[in-house]
Amino acid sequence: MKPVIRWFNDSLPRLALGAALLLTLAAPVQAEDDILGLEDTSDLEYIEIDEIMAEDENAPRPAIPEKEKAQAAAEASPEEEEFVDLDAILYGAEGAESGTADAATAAPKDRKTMQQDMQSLKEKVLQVNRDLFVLEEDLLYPSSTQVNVFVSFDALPYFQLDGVTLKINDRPISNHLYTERELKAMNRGAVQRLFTGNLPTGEHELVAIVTGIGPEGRDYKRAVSIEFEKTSGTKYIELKIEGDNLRQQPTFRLKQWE
Amino acid sequence: MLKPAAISLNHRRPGRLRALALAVTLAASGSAFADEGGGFWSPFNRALDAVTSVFSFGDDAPSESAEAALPVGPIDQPHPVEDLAYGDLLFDYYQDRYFAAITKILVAQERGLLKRHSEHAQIVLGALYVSYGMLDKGEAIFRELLTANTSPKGADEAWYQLARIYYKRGNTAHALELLGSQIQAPAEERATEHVLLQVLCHIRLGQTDQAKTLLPYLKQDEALSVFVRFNMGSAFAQLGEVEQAEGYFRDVSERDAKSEYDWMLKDQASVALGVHYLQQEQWEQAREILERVRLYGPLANRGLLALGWTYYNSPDPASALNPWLELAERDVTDPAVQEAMLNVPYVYEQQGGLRDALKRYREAYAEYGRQKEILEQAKQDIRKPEWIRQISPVQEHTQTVMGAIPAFEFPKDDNASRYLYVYFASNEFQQLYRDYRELQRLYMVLIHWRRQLPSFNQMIATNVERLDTLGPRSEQAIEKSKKFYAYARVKLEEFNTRLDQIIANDDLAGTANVQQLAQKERLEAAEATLKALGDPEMYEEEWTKLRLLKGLLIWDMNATALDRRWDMTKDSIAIDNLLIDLEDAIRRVQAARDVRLDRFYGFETRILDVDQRITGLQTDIAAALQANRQHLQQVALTVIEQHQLQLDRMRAKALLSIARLQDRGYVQDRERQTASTVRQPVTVDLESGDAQTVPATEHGGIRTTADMPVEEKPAAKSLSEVIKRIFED
Amino acid sequence: MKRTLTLTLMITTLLAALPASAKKPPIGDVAPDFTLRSDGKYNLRLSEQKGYIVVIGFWASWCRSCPVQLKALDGLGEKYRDKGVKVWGVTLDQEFDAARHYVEKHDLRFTTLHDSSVQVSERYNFDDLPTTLVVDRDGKLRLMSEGFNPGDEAKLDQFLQTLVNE
Repeated sequence: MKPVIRWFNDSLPRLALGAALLLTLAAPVQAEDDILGLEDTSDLEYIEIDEIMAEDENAPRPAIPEKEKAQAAAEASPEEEEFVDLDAILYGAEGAESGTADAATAAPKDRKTMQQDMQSLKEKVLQVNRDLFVLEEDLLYPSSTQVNVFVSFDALPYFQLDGVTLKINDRPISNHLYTERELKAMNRGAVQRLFTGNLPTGEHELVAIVTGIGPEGRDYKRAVSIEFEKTSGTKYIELKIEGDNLRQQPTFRLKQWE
Repeated sequence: MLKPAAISLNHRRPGRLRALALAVTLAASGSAFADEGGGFWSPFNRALDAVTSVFSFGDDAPSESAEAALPVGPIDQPHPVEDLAYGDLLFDYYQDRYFAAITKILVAQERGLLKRHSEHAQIVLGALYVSYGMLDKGEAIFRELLTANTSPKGADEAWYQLARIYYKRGNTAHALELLGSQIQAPAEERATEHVLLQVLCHIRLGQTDQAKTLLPYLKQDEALSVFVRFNMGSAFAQLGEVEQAEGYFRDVSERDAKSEYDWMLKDQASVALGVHYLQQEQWEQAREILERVRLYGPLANRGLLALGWTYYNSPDPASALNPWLELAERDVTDPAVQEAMLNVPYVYEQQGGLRDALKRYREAYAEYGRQKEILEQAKQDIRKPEWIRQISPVQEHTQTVMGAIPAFEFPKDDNASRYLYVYFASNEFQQLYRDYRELQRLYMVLIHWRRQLPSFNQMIATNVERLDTLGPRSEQAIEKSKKFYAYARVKLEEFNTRLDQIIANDDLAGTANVQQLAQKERLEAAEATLKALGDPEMYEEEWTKLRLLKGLLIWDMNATALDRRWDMTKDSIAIDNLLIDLEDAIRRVQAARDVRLDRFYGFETRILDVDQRITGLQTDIAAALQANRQHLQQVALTVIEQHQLQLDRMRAKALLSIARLQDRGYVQDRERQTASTVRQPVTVDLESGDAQTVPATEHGGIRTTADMPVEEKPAAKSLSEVIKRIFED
Repeated sequence: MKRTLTLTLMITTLLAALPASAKKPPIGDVAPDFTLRSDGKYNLRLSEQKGYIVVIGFWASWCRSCPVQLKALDGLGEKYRDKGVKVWGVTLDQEFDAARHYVEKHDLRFTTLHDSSVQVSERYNFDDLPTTLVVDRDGKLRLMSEGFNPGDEAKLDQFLQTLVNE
């Protein structure tokens, strides 16, 4: 009975420790969307578990199936472009199409057909452009880590926005000075996407420091902060600059969007 | 204004002004109308685009006229923004970054980010499509908006945009019908455009009376008013209602110009009106109005030519030399200048300066010859890629992927370009140019993305590589976790069974702590030793002590047993929970890894897909560029050939005039020899050297006979006809 | 590791932007964009000036050889004011007020901007003050001249004349 008694007295906490350790190990890999956030687990020790499992034998190490990862990269290699004579495409080639005979005999498409071709090409390029934007964003800012900060600014007679500095967890992430053109757009209802970046899930603090010209032409500087939790979905936060007409003062608010 | 004292030379952008100049020149014959979907340089279409569209792609007109254009519409009015993505696209849209705005709408739609503003966004997208020349897509969007449950305001906007599409397509009657029947009460902010579009439709259909009745409903906007009035004038002129046209043109001509665009219309109206008075042989009125045309403005040459005729028909015909000499010094590629080169010697001839006249005729003849050679060379130039490069240079560094189409820059003065100004300013060219530019840009957009693809692939490859590195470790961890889980489950089971036994048997030892167990072991050892010693009586005291200690221990163990059992039960439950979590974690890790691998493969598939699409599109665009290029070159060659024909005519006229003078000299010489004093008829070249025999009068006035020279065209029968010919393109 | 990767990405992004700051921007390329506070009502961004020729003089009130440049720029600014040329004086003074005071005292009429963090100067990577840049109507950097010697004003004048006529 001695081993049992020892097991009772010693192993129970180790069993708990082992389970807890393995849970920690598993946690970082859970964020399934986060392709850029693969945690390096090399620091974790497995000795504890091995010790606990005295009878444990060397586990086989199944390898991830070999991917043809370089294939796509090779297919879209930039060298390919070197074989394309961009000038010839954009301006035409000497001889081939510019000879007298060619220019005179080529039966040019009628304008209507050309215009329809144009419409179709524009549409296709717009589609591929959209798909590439989506793809780029998916790659750079996976939704599991994506955080966006927007700025909206109502036209106020007593406040002119000059600039906004953003800090996340005390680290500066953006510093923007507004031009007249941008301010006009914002005063008409446009919202500026000031920052897009990646943050791990968990609690964070965003601080926005707003500068401008306040009532009576005085320099104006205010900071506003918000603590937010980055969950697995894309995070949207809006810095709203509105007016308190009663007090003739601007108000600053950080609002989380779902 | 044609007086040198009133020189108004705009230094800001000579190239652009020249563009404006020639655009107007084209339309200077009295109408500013363009064909449907005409180029953006046409005043008519420019203003149409400016007023009826919220935006205009690549329309890089001078800022003054852009400001005058007042592009307003419901979307431009401040309205509450409830989707961040919608506000975000407005940020680009309000800063005229339309391509970026389209992209943002499409991306936001793809991601479902326009929950509260889908209708607004659709209207913006539709309107952007229309302005981008994608009329079919625009129409589809507005048609869809009308079948969907759209708000009355949204529906009105959709109908309006559809009318705009039909107008652009040339389906004017349909556009007018929609405006009249579908929109009950246009939104306040759309009212002006609504009426204007109706007016423009009526004008195009020649329904000037209906257009006139609508004019009072137009808001009193200066720029708009000038534009509408000019077109009303043109419409009446086309319909032959000269009196009506005169009123509108005079009105435009007398207005203060605030922008280059205003000046353009003013000049245009003044020339049109001046020509009208010339046709009516109202020389004074013609002169008065023509003198308002700017000396260095776009219409200056035509104005100077016409002004010369007003002087020529004055009591002092020699005063025509002032404008014509000025004109003759200008760029000889302009037909008006070519005509002045013959008119000047003609006046000399009239005034008896035969030697000077002959000299000038000869110079003109030689110049026409030179120009013909230049044109021959120009034809060769046009066929070269360099010509296309010159008129549409793509600068990779400055070509912003999302930027506006570069405005057409008039090429530096070379042989071809100087003759092609009029062509460059034509609607046809401008359309082709915009399409060509657009195709180039679309191609560059694709190149931009193609250059990004390797980095996308690299990112994925890096991640796959990392996964390959980390994967085995995760696998190992998963494997260990699984084994541990199985092991722990068994052990926990054993533990629970044992605990159950302990509880059932009230097994105090089972719940003893380490100290108690140690004590128990020591007591058992002591008891064994005592047993081995025997003689209990002798060791009575020890036995008693032992029993006491055992009793104490049991009491102690008994006292802690309940707590220990409870602790153990809790531990068991906690471990069970941990194991459940572990099981769950193992499952999630496995799933995450699979999903990630899928994602990588998904990205690669997506990249391969867009890669193929890009390749296909590049081929298509290259083909379209070639077709467009051939068209551009073909039309340019035709224009040059027309210029050559014109020069041939001018050369013939110059030659005839030379012959006439030489003949006259010969006759005079002979007459002098025979002492004859009979006065000979004088040949007058009224229209660009159109030789007609005109009996000399004291004023050198205009008479027509049909007995003179060789001309392909029949001789003009009246001044009106002469003037009309002058202004024919 | 997540942080490391994000950081790597940021560094990569920074590196991508680095060539602009590591060496002088090439003549003929689009001039590196910037937004700076101005002595006017609004901040000014270079890329928003397309359609105008922009002459940019970098200076500081403590720079001894700057006054000649500033005087020249002031004159040229007036000469080409109606011909689509804008002159910006970008001061590297720590305090904007010092520069403003200087401008006021010397009756300089061009627009003054403040490169408070010297970021713009670093991006253009010049070694000397004053430095003069000319950006054409398409936003391309056409001239970058470090120092200001006698005769430079005439050269700049001629250069602007050419650009205006383009």
